[in-house]
This record gives sequence, structure tokens and C-alpha cells, in this order.
Amino acid sequence: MSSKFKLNWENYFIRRGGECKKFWKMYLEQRTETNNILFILGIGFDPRIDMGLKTIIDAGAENISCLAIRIDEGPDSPTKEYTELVEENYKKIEELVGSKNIRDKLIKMFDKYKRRIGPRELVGLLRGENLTGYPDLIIDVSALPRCIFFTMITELLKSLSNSDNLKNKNKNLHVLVAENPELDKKIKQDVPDEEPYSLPGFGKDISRTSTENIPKVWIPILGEGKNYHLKRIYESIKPEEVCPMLPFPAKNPRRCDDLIKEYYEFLFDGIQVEPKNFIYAAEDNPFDVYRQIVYTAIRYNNSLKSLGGCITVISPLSSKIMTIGAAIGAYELRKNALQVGVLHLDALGYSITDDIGNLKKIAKKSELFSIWLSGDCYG
Amino acid sequence: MRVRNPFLLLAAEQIEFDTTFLDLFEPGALEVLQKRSDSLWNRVCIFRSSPGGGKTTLLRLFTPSALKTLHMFRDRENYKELYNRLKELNVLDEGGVRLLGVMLSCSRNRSYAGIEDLVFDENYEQNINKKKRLLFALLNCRIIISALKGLSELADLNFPDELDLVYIKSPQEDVPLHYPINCSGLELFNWAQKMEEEICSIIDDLMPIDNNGKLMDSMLSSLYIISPKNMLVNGSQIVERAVVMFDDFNELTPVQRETIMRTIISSRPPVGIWISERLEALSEREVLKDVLPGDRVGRDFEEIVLEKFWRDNPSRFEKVVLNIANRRIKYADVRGVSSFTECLSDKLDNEVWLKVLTHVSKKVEEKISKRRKYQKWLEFCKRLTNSFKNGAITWRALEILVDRDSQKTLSDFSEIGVDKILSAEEFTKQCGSDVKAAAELFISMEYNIPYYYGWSRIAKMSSFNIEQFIYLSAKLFEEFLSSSLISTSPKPLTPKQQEKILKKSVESRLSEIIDRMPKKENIKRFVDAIGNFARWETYKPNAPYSPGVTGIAIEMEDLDLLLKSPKYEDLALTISECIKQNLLLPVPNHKCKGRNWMVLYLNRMLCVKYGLPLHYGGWREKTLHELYIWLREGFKPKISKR
Repeated sequence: MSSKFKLNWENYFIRRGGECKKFWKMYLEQRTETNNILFILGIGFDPRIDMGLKTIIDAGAENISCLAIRIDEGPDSPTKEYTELVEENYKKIEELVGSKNIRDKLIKMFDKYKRRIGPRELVGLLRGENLTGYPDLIIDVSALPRCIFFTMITELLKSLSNSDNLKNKNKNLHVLVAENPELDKKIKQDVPDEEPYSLPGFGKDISRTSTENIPKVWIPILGEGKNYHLKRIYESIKPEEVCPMLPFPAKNPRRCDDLIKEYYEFLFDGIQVEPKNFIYAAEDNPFDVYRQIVYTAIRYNNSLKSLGGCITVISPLSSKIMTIGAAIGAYELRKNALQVGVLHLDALGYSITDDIGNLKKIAKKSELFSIWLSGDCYG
Repeated sequence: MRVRNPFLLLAAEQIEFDTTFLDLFEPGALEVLQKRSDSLWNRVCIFRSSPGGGKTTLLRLFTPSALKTLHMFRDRENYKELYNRLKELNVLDEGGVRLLGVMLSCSRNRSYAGIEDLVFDENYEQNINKKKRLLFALLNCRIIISALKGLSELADLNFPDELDLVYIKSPQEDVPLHYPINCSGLELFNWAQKMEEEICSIIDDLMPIDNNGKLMDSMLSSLYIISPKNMLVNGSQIVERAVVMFDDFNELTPVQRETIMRTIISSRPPVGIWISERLEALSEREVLKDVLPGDRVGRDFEEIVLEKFWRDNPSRFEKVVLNIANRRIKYADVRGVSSFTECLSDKLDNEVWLKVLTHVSKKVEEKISKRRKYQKWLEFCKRLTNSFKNGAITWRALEILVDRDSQKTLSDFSEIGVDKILSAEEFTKQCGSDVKAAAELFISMEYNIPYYYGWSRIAKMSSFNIEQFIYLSAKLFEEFLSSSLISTSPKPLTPKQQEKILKKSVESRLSEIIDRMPKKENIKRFVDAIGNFARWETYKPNAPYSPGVTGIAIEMEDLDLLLKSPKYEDLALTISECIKQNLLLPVPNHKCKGRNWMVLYLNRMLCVKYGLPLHYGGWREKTLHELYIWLREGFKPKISKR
């Protein structure tokens, strides 16, 4: 590994399940200054929406200011069918923090030509926010689409480390996520985009003609039901090397085998992936995903030094928790001046494949993860 | 390189090595260019098709590395035809490559569309103008970088280190230039590289622009700089012509597409311009009204719709796809197979046909033996000494013709009571290939005999789309591989096996496509309505549109109403989405019965799904209102009065 590269999250902080509440209780008790918290969450139909907020309120959090992100996917979105559920969820949040402590912000996901602009709109929104008054920033990604929370995490990490107003101000950035693979399976992406696109801040290295000669190493993080996504992204970047990431260890010990079976044709017949190229990361630890991405990028950059290094292209196609790992991995590579791109393919909206009552029951089995990304614990 | 199933290799343009790419490239695909060889290098040519039509593969052939490799190995037997065809197009000759092909991807990840999100100026007009100029600046940098890279490739220079051997001359035309000129290629490259990096950072990070217009260009001036006479290597011009190929042009925003097109057409640059775009990113209006009617061809630009070209030349398409299949087979890790046709048997068991012949002839004889009018026809069929298959088909055709004649008699009062004996000559005259084709289809449905099998029908099932062809072939070859595993010598797939695999593959491919489409319930209902309607018409006993109906048509003059009326909003969207995804194949401006039609043929995979023939030509006119009802309620067959 390159001696110059220092892993920011070599030691990391993550709590899960019952430990989350204990941690937040202790954390909030130890805070000396006024605990103004900016809590950013998505307002959607996902029944896990209030799990994180409820946990920190139960732990004693006060002075919570909620930034509620509503996503407008346009009139054709399948998500439109669940408007009632969205409003029901919004009421839950209102009951928890009071309506005067919620600020709604709408993000238009598509422009009039149906081009995806949501992540870029989000960047504008975050840059317009005054974050100086909040020692604690919490993002609850449970009801946010991948492209939005990925951009939110990387943009906030950048602001906290670069912005004149925010750096060295002891700001803490936490990410909450309620994981539930069973529930994830019931929420289906509908009408995938035709074309992959790069997320803000991670496009320039893959878009330049002058870097076309530099080999591209693609790390798709494999999740179920993404055959079309994989094919479209592959066609778009035409990478020289492909290092698919598999979730291992995983709750279901056969998950890797199932994924290999699902993508056998694409991986082995279609693009001839070398079996030795597979990388493995724990499905419930974003820092493992992060480390594997960074190590892989460093190794390839060292090996391909004489060709000008490589461009690492990451495509998060798996769970939310693994996507958080991909976000911090991409952020870290960019911060250390390694060439990195993030190519993603989204869908017009989401639909539920089960009845809503059942969905709510399943949601109760969700496990909360609290991930501390920046601030006091990192010195 | 040996692979298990070479049909599963991603499209040829994805293949990394030029030699593999050239091995898999079928020279016949160049026929789309050969008729236009005069206008290819000095005009704008637009290549359009649905996804998988082969546009990018075609463009890649003209890139310097592919041409250079081809020239290097031109004596190899498998490259000779390709070399000769390109020689005819003046792309290369014994002396070397004569064309500098500059290929630029306009895909979403190339940042062009992201320019639209930037705000440079509060004044709306100013803002639009600045975005346009930034777009031109980015394109100029990229055209220059790609051209210099291509030139290095052709001149065997190390890129970019030996670009100092390239000299950039000032163009003779009066063009505003903001970049180094009368300088070395290296100087120009360094400038373009730096500019591109700055522009990409601005777009990617959504940063404001504050360098007094340094990063902006008022036109595509790079098209003049890369003209062969302005780029000299060691003091000499090394190519005769240049072409800039904009791939995935549909991924630019509509404003950007229009801006670039207008600029190129009005400035008439000294290089050829090729544009490739899919129909799928276009609006309903563009698909239905602006693009397809295509009357502007030959005026401002040449338009090549790949599917249309092959539809006009179906036998060439069959030849091309068979060659594509055979080229892929050579990469297969299976012994003893050199051609795709060896994997498929097109012979049905004679026993089966004998049974059908016996049954059909008996049935038809019973039906008409007491009708004097058809005695000669019956005798003719009895005398047949054809193969069992042809015999069965002729007998079934006889039944169709008798049904037709009975219908005619019923509707023509002058014929009632007149039982004029019809001659054998009359039978042979009426029993044309279309009736026989209908008869074969009817037999296959009535006796559960495979219909969708054999090389030629598989080629037809691909609807002139190469990706669709490769998909179907991959599924067949997979089965062939599996059966080879349990057999000492590979045996071709039987017609029954072929039909089973094809029907299953078609079903899964169609549901994959429709599942990805917006308002998929509408799409399903609409396509289902057309399919069921076509089936209902096709299987009428007298086969009125033999061999069958496989499409519908709307009047061209109804297109305006379709696009403007709020009532038809969903219908317009559904039709255009079906065209974009190749579920419907449009044939605009088709003249028939003194009127002008837009024929919409079903993708041939849908014909397999609904048990229809694979021929073109059978379509029925429909009003917008009828289609509107279909979209809402599906097709409901009228109860026959007969």
C-alpha cells in the first residue's frame, strides 16, 4: 500500500441495534454545549422513516431541527401511488419533533426533458444551508434514494473538511440507517433509467477525453436484481478491469453464491471477469466496504503507475449500508488525489410488492445502525 | 481466445482488442454506407436506430486504431473482404489509412448534459448563451484531443510525447480561434487538456465560472483545425479526409442537440460529420412527427435509419447476421462446429408430415367432395406427388381457397346458385406463396407442429436488430452446448427444441423490455391489443390477409391530431415509447389506396408471442379512436355474423 495514504477511517465508530440507543444516551449526556441537532431525513413511503429519529429522541435529544427532503419524481413516477403513506409518515415526524421544527425542501429528480437532476439539485440545496449553528449533523438515510444520500454524505464531508465556515469547528456528522433486507426485497425499483450518470463531484475523472488512455477499474457492489444496471454501466465505462464486490460475511451465508448465480452470464460469459478479481466486504459494515475499495484502488494505482495509474469507478448497487461505505471510499480516494468516479443508474420510482400492512410488520424487524463519520471521536 | 458461449459476449463495440473486434465485424454491415459513398465525407450523416441496431459498432470501425490494425493485417484471409470494402470507400489503401476518424461519445457520463445545470448569469438569454459557449469550448477541446490522439496512432507516434512532430497550421477559413495555432501538436494538446480539465471541474462541482470567458467558444472552430491539410506530421499531410463521429448524440439535452446541429449545418465544416443516435431519448413529437417522416433527407443531411435499410434489403440482412453468427462461432470452445446452421436442424420428421397430410387431405376431401365447383381443384390436389410437407400445405391451402370462394359467393348475389366448375389453372393461380405460407402457419397451430425454427426464420425474428438476433442465438447456442455435454458428438437442435427455446426467450425478453418502460400497464395492454387483433385477423378461415396481419396503420395526416389532442396524450406516449423500444417498427409515408400511412409493424418477437407469421406487408388501417379504445380496454373481437 502507498505509504502516503492514511486511512481516515482506519479506526471507526459504528453501533447497531440496541447499542444505538445506549450510545446516543451517553453521547448526548456528554455534550457540554447546547445540543442543537440538524436532522436530515427523507420523506417517503418507507415505514422505517421514524426509527432513527425516535431512537435519538428517546435517548434524550432536544433542540432538533429537521430538514425534511421530499423527492418529486414527476407525474409518471410509480411512487405517486403511495402519497397517503408518505403523508402518514410525515405526520409521524411532526409528532416527534413538532411542526415548527420541520423545514420541508423539495428536490426535483428530473428536469422537463426527463434528465435526472436530483443529486445536482441537492448540492445546491446543501450549499444554501447554514450549518454553522449545529454542532451535530445527523443524516437518516433510511427513506432517501441512494443517489441522494450518497451525494449528501460526500458533499457534507467535503464541506466539513474544506469550507472556511465549518472546518475545525468540531462538527459531528452521523449517519443513521435502518437496515432490513427482507423489507428491501419488497420495495422494487421501477422503470430504470436508460443511461447511467455520474454523481456530483465524481464525474470529471471519467468524463475527460484526455484521461481515456488511463485504465479504468470498475468496482460494482453487487446486490440482487441489477442485471440491467450492471450491463448499462459496463457499456458506459468500458473498464479494463472489473472487480465485483460481494457481500461476505453476510447473514445469509449463501448470498454470494446466489449473486454469482444471478450474474453468471454477465460476469463470466459477457465480460469475462477473472475469478481472482472478486473482492469481499461485510454486508453490515460500511467501513469494511470502504477499506476494500480503498485498498483495491491503491493496489491498482501502484501496479499501473507506469501507465498513469488508474481511474477507480464505483457503482453502488447493493444495500444502503454498503452504499454508505462506497460513499466514504469514493470521498477518501478523491481527497487523496486518486482518480475516482461514481457511475450510477437509478429508476423513475419505487413500488411495493406486498400489502402495506405486511410491510409495516416487517419494518418492525429493522435494525438501526449509527455510524459516526466525522467529528470528536476522530480527534 | 476461446469462450463458452460467444453469443453472450457483449456487443462488438465493447470488445477491448481491435483484432477481436475486427474478427467479429461482418463486412456486409458496410452496405448501409456504400450507396452513399459520395456524401459520407463532406456532409452530415445521421445514423438512427433503436438500441442494438449496430450504430456504435459501425462507428468504431472508422476509428484510427481499428483501421490501423486492419491495414496491418490486410493480407489475412478473414480481413480481406472488410479491407476491400473500406478501400472502395476510400478509407484506406495499400499505402495506409487515408481517413482520420474522430469518435466522441456524447453519453451522459461525458458531462455535456451537466452544463444545463449551471447558472452563469441571472439574465436568461445571457445564461443560455454562456452555456452554449461552454458546450462548444468543451467539444472543441475534446475534438482536438481525440484528433491528435488518432493522428499519433496513424503516424506511429507515441502519444502525447511525440506530438511535437505534429505541426498545426492556421486554417485558411476565417474562423475565430482562442487556442494555440501555428504551433506543435504538443502545445495544442497541452492547452486542450488543461482547458478540458478546468471545464470538467466546473461542471462536476457545479462551480461558478469567473475567468472572463476564457473557457468559452462561439463556434465549433476545432472542426477547421483538424482538417487533414492543417495537421502535418513531419511536414506532410498523412490523411486525405477526416470525419468527426458523435456517438450517443441522443444523450445530449434537446437544446444542445439542436444547437450543435444548427451550427454544423450552417458552418459547413471541411470535415465529415457523423451523428449516431437512438430513437429512445427523443420526445413523442420528434419520434412521430420530426424524425420518422424524414423528408429532409438529402437536403441538410443524410439520414440512415439502420432498421429501414435492412427492411428494404431483407436478404442482405439475413446474410449479414448469418455471417455475424459464424464469426462468433469461431470463438466457441466447442469442437466440430464451424457454422451456426450446423447447430440447428431445419428438418421436421417426415412421419409427422405424413400424418398431417393424411388428416388434412381427408378433412378437406370430406368438406368439398360433394361440391362440383371444386372438383378440378380436388383432383389437382389428389394428383400431387410433392413431399409430404408440401402436400399437406397445398391441401390446407385448398381449404383456405374454398373458404375464400364461399365468402365471395355469399357476398356476390350474381354467383348464388351458379356452381361453375373452377379449373386447376385457377387453383394454381390463386394458390400463391402467401396462401401457402398461411396454410403452413394454420397447420402448425392446428397440429402443434413447430413453426418458429430454422436459420431463416430466426434471422427474421430479429426484426432487423443485431442485438436481438444475438440474444436469440445466444439462447439457442446455450441449449446446443448443454445437449453437447451429454452426447459424444454434438447434435443440431430439433425444430421442436428450437421453437420451445425461442418462445421462452421471447417471452422473457419482452417482459424485461416492457417492465423497464414507463406506464408499463398501458404498454402491455396496447401491445396485447395489437397482437390479439392481428391473431384474430390472421386466423380467419379464409386467411384474408395471407399470410397474416402483423401490423396496423394510422393515417399520416392524423399524426398532428395524435400529438395535439389531450384525449390522445397517453396514446401518443404509448406509441412513441413502443417505437423507441423497438416493440413497434414504424414505416412512415407508406402510400396505399390513395392515402398516406404510418404503418406500425409488430416486432417479430411479438409475432412469435401471438403466433403470427414473420412476413411484412400484412397490416390493417386503424383510426385514432379505435387505438384509443384499445389502449383503455384492450382488443375485443367483433362477433362474426357468419
